Amino acid sequence: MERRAAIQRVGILLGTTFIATDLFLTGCKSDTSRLTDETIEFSHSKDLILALASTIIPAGGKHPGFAASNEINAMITILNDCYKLEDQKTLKTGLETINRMANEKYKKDFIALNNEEKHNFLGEIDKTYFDKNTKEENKAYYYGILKEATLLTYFTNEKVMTDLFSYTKVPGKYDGALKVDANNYATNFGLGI
Amino acid sequence: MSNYYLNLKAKNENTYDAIVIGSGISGGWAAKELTEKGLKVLMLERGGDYKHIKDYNDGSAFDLPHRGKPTVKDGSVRTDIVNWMAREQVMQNWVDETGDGKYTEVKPFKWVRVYRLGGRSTMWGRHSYRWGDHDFEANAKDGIAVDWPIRYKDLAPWYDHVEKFAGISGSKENLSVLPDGQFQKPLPLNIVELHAKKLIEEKWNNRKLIIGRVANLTEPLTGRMNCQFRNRCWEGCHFGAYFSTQSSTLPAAVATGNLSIAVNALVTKIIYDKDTKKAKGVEVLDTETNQTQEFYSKIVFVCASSMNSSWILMNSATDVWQDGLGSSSGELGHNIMDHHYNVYASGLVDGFDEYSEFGRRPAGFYIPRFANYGNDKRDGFIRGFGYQGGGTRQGWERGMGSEGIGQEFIDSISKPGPWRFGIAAFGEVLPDHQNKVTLDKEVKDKYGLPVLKFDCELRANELAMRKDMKKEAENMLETIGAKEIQSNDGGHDLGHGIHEMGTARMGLDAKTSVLNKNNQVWDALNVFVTDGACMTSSSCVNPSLTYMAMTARAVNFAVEELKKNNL
Repeated sequence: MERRAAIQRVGILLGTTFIATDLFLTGCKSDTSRLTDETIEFSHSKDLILALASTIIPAGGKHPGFAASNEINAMITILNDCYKLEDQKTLKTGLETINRMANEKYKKDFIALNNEEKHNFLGEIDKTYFDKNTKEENKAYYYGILKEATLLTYFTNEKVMTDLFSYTKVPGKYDGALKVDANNYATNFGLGI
Repeated sequence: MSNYYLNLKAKNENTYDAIVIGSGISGGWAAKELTEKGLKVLMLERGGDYKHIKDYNDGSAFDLPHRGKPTVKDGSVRTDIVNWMAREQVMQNWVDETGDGKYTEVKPFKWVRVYRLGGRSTMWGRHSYRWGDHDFEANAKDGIAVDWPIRYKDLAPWYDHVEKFAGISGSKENLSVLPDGQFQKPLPLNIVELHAKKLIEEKWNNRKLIIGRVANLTEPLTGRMNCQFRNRCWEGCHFGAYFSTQSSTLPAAVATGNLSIAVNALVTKIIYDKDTKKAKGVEVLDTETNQTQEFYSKIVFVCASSMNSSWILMNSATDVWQDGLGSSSGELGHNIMDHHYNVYASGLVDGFDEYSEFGRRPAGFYIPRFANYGNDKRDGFIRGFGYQGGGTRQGWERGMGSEGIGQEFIDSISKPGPWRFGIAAFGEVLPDHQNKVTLDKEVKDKYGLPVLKFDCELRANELAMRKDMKKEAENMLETIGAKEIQSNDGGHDLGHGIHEMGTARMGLDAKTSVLNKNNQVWDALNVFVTDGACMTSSSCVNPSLTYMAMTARAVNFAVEELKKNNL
């Protein structure tokens, strides 16, 4: 299983580019295990998950930020329903690890940190996760799940899609050479959205 | 088994001129052509109803509870086939292979199906290419399997016929490897794809990068609008802008007043009459009541999708032939083919930062076969491969795979990302007698019917071809100046291309083939198999258009024969 390859894999079929977002599922070419009905409920960790997601996407600039998007319940639903039990267990343990590490460093739970501490603390985890030198067995896969679910939920928020990205449900035409300003927000949406 | 459209003209509800098994691309075409020629037709679909527009489940990402991500609860589909086919909106469309769609594997086989009115016509990729003479001549030239009993010229007028009605958009290119057809105006290539086209065609005089020829309308047809660039075809198109049974062939067949449809109607066998050596009709299991019922007809069109069409034959006339109707040749169930893929390359293209795309085009480009064609000769394998691909400017989703958090990071991934250009190869699979499917006598499905047992795999020719598929993909990415090139051969279990075909091949000799040149079962001439089961070789181009043409041709023949009282 090549997990790192899985997260960065980009598939192109039918002309649509998509990124394989299932960190654990799609990396395994002969994974014949089945999805099951058994799942872990993450609503008990709602406050912590909201704090983490809001640290990844704070308010600022054009962005309302994760907290103001009111998408925490959608994110919990995705974490509850869309990940295999194996991945959910990794996430559950990971959330405990975050608090353990925060206590080791700051003598506080993550949620009690100030915004700067939160940013620095989570930024370290992010950096290590994407560092090419981090060994596979040391990778914080729970963080990959968190980041994926955070970005997916926030960037598919109706206000974000329509107000920040001028999403139109029925474009009606295709222009393959639309002049854009590289500093403006993107005009297209990944993931076949 | 609810009647979908009540046929008031049918006097005896169990007797029809023709029975069509299946309602997908081939079944829909059979029903349209037969009813338009005046026959009273019963179409049987094992799955449930799926009404045009009314039953479509589309919406923007924010309308969906999981934002398009498939859920564990949706998914009894195996994780190894959950991949690009997996979206929250369509997960319930795929067959649950642990329940209704059980099968067994000696070697891994991915069987991706839709059991519902319209079959996979509602979920297909829509690329539509003609085969060329080289495809029909290939087996004879290479001296493998058996020769096709037809040539391009036999099918060409039927390609014309189906393209005009289905609505295929594409560009005329005058290529012998990929014959032109009756096209609507092409979808546009985008600026990066045009750039790549120029560089690839400059470097190699035998390679072309063209927009995909797809069953997406660029001009309206009766009752159907042109594509609105939503790229949500699979969820069902309210505009009827892509070809499906629902948008195209079914309304035409219904309009004749000659069509009856039964859903939840699983054909368990064809009823064979030893005295006349013909089929009398079919036995149908009502999957709602578990009762069986017989229906009778002069001719039967078997369009249940390649593997299931052979399953029906295997279950039929077993008192005469142990292995079923059409098995006298020893070839029924053999020669499973597919297109092998999961070989791709992609990279980033600089220099187009002032451009992006507007609208979501439902298809990408196509690079027709060049390997082992014309003067191109390869070592280690015969036949060839083509590529599908696309260039897209990346959006926020790149943030999932890159380092960073916080305001600056979120702002940066909100801006247009780099252009990513990628291609994926589709290779021809040789017909091989050893690649087979049989009835598993041990394992039964939930109706107590025997399931199919797959025993097939890629062999030496395909494995050698994959090396060139990858190498040439990398070569082309380098040629267009792509950076950070990723390429991969992810392996391929047969079936995963969802182009499974073969198992009831056409041929010139009843001793070595299941069907004759008119898609008639040699052992029962009023039974026609016109879906992918009939294929004698696989080409490397997407096969559905050929099934359409093959079906229309066979219907024309069948009706002429009926008029002459030959059937």
